[in-house]
Amino acid sequence: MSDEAKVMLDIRNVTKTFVRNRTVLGRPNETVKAVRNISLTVNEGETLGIVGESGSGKSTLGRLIVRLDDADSGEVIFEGDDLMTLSKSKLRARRRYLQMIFQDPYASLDPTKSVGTSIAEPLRIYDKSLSAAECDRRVRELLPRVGLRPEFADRYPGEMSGGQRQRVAIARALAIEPRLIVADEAVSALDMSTQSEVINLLAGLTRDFGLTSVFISHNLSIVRHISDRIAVMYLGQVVELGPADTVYAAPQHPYTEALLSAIPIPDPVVQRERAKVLLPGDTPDPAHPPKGCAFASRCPYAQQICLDEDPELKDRLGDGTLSACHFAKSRPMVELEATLEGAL
Amino acid sequence: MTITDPVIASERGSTDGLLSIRDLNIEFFARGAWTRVVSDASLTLKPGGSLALVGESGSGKTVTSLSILQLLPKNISRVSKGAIDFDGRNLLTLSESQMRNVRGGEIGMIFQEPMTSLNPVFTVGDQIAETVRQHRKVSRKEAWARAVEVLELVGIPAAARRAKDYPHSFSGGMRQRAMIAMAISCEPKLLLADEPTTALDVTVQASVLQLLRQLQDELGMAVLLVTHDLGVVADFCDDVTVMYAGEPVEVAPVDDLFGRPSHPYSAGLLRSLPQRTPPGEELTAIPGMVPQPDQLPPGCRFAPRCDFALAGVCDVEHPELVKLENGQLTRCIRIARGELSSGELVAAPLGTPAAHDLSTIATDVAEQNGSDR
Repeated sequence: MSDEAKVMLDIRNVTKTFVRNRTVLGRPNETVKAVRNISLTVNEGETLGIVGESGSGKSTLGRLIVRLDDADSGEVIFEGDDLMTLSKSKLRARRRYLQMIFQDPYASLDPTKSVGTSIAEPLRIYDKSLSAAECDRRVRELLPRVGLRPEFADRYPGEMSGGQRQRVAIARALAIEPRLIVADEAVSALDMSTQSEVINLLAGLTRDFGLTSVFISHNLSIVRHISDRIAVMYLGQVVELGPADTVYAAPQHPYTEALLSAIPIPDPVVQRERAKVLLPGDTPDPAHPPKGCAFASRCPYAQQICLDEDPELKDRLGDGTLSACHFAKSRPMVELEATLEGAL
Repeated sequence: MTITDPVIASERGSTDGLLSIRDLNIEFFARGAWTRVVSDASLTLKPGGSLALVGESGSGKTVTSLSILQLLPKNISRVSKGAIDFDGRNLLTLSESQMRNVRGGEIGMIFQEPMTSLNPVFTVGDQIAETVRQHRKVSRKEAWARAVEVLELVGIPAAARRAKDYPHSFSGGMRQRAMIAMAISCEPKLLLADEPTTALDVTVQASVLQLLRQLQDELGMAVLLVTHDLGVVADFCDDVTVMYAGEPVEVAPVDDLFGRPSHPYSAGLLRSLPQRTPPGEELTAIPGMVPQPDQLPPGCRFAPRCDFALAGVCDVEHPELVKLENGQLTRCIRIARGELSSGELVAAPLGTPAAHDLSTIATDVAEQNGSDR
């Protein structure tokens, strides 16, 4: 990313709390902080990968970006407008530029509507002057771009495989020419070889349409593949944010290090030899986040200060990578990638 | 690579292993007809060894593993041929009550979804103790003590107290540990693990695999691991059987499978790993889809998706699983004949990268969809 890169999405101090259960009087009894004071930016044309384990808040953050959920506090500024304070009608107008692709293509498509009707729906909503014939023409133009024949417009989701459905979901998201795509676990439900095809498709379309995208996934190898920058989340916070190459080659936060070392490298020789960091215990209960660093209870490097003081996310080594660790340092990894050259 | 002695794998089928599946055919009843979903599946697992059964959805790997304990639904499925020899007996000849002694006793099993496998209305300790009492003549108290002991063994902190908790108060990783505790409570000789870490986070997966490895060493237990994740295979297993469209297509020690795959499908799976493509470049993908069991092509089942398929050869004759000089088994005719080498499989560009030439893919996908129905 060059220095003049234009910021498309600016997330400032966003917090989101969910009520886990209520008292008999209906007052919140226990609340879960799913997203805790997150700030980050997405530049025009880049792909930001968000990784984290279950409960890290990555999906909630994705939903906040397109305002499927309202934040408790903070701003989500998309091309100059704070989405959180926009009126309903203004939000609707902005939202056509923000589209989301979900994990489960079986749940995100209406089984009673033909593929063509599903893809045309956003077109009709945002451009009421479009004739039915024009809608149909656009749909049939779009299908080949996602690798499906135009005739697919007349089929129903029930007749299609998971990979084909996800292609339809992508076509629908692209129908109204969005500027920002949020893909939440978009390939996680797919089989291995289908996964590669859909990733290639997304990467190709992002490039061809000049899209900006936020790619959320628990699959670190795939995120690495298509992201320019990576945000690593733990217990509702971003703990590391930097260029994909740097983060994967030499993470600065101990959680990122543990996460990367936990992914088995698909080469038995390398995998046997490499050092692995095994984390004790579980992620703390998000209803009661610890006072200091959220990761301290499981961190092999934790000191007293980590229990007392929550470290801020900032550039600690002066290399452009932000990390939230009192003891941030470059921790070189056995690279997940390209270790297999020898084996081949 | 040439074959010195074209041994058909099934002939090699012996009783030297702890578990030996020979020429297994499994059929399912659907839309008025019996359809074969697993054909001529053979595999051998040594005592204390670990074997991975790898394949995509629809490859028959889970059906094969469920058939070992006869857990397939009886009214709509049947084993029409073959034998499952376990520790000197053919499990297919046992009665239902004899099978009940095998399940959870000599053979333990863990599944993908630890939450659906545990009963929510009984405490974790009760469920493990029940398994123990099913297989061992012990008092309730002794069974409970054993439950606490195995919970400790799988690394549940404060096991004596946590045994009294219900499954919902356990996290995903803890539940899978509790499932493993139950599966090993009667010291099985064999553990069947069907996608045991697929629903877990990677850091939890790493510790569960570490636990399984440690238990395997301590208890001398063999593990049959069913998975689609080649990383897990590389991390955990000694040997690998790759399944495609209901039949094994390659059998090899883990280092050989990754180092010199001997079937175009195995090579294709390896090459489609994101780790094998530099970041930013297009991922390789195997074009097309796994054929439906009632729509199998004539000849080699992988031929329609194979870059190395030879017209008049691969689409004519259904290949047998053949033993190569180096000990690997393959179902590829061209590899067996020595016309193709492992090096060529991994070096050649694979498939049509998706989104590259969309018109080609469009045709592929559409045709595939047409033939599905």
